[in-house]
Amino acid sequence: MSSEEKEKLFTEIFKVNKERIFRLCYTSLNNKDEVDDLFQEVMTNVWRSLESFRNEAKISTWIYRITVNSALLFNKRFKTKSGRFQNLDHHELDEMYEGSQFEKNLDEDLKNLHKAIAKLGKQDRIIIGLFLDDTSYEEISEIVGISPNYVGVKINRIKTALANTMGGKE
Amino acid sequence: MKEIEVLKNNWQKQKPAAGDKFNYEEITSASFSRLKKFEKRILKINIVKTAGIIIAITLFIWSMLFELPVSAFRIIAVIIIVIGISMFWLKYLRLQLKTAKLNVRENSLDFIDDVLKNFSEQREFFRKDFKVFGVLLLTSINIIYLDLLTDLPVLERIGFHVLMSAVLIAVIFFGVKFRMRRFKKENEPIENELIKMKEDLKE
Repeated sequence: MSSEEKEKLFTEIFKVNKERIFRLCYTSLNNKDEVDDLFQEVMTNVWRSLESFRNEAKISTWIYRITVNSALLFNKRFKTKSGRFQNLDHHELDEMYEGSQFEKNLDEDLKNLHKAIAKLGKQDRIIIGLFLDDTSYEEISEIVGISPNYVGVKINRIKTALANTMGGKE
Repeated sequence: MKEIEVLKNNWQKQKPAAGDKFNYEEITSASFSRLKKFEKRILKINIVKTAGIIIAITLFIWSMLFELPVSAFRIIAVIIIVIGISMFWLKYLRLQLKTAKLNVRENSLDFIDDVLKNFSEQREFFRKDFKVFGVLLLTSINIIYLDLLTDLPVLERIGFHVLMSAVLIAVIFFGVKFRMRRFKKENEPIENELIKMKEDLKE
């Protein structure tokens, strides 16, 4: 692939997928100050993986796998930032959300949903992020590496946990 | 909880906020040059490190075999050191390359397996290979001292061997300890998190 082709393909992927990549980055992290860093990390990994892109069947699966795996390893590179591994309590989470520019633009329902998601484990945050972005169970199973049935089981459990946190019914 | 389809619909309308650090509007030529620079960064760092090692080995060989009259002892010592450093360095580079080439396009479960395997290889490298390299270094330096100090009284020679060995052992001990502490600080939290995730993903 020539440099020009690579840049063109990258720009196209960026344009089409930047919003869902951003949403997944945002959902996977508890420290929202690091979203830009993770997004950048994902884009770097996309750039480095472009050569193999033609062999991949579905672009969304390809992009999501890179995003999810970058999010899984993201802790490693930015390990020195304080508080990354601590469990935040409700008050701390609320404070964090008040300061986020992205969060300020959201309506109350989405803010509450984000707060409830932030209380889940990382892997569950990623799975529900994919689900909310309308990714099918089959595709989530290809991204995560578990069976579609088990994806369904996990999503039901997550929905119940979210409903409990948000104080309503599923 | 609000109807899930409504939430999904609202969820998908969320866009990156303007004013954040990253330029979500467009990819500029500056972004491309940063990406290209980053792509070659690890390669460049390893080329510089390897060049440094080659220069150090060359100077060492020169000083041992060309600046002084050649002896069988020193030839053996030089061979041990060169083989030791080369093997140690090649393994280090292989690990670096493996880490840089982790396949982020795999499904998460396979990716987690690869990362955990990579962590355990790195741990093994610091625990085992570092020590093997230390023993080789200790042996060869002692052989060189054995050869160079022949004119000194026995007690003085023993003193030099003991002192030099003690210094080397201390350097290797604290070197391994420092690297292991850094490894633990950098990798163990993510390693534990990945192990937990892997367990959670088991059906």
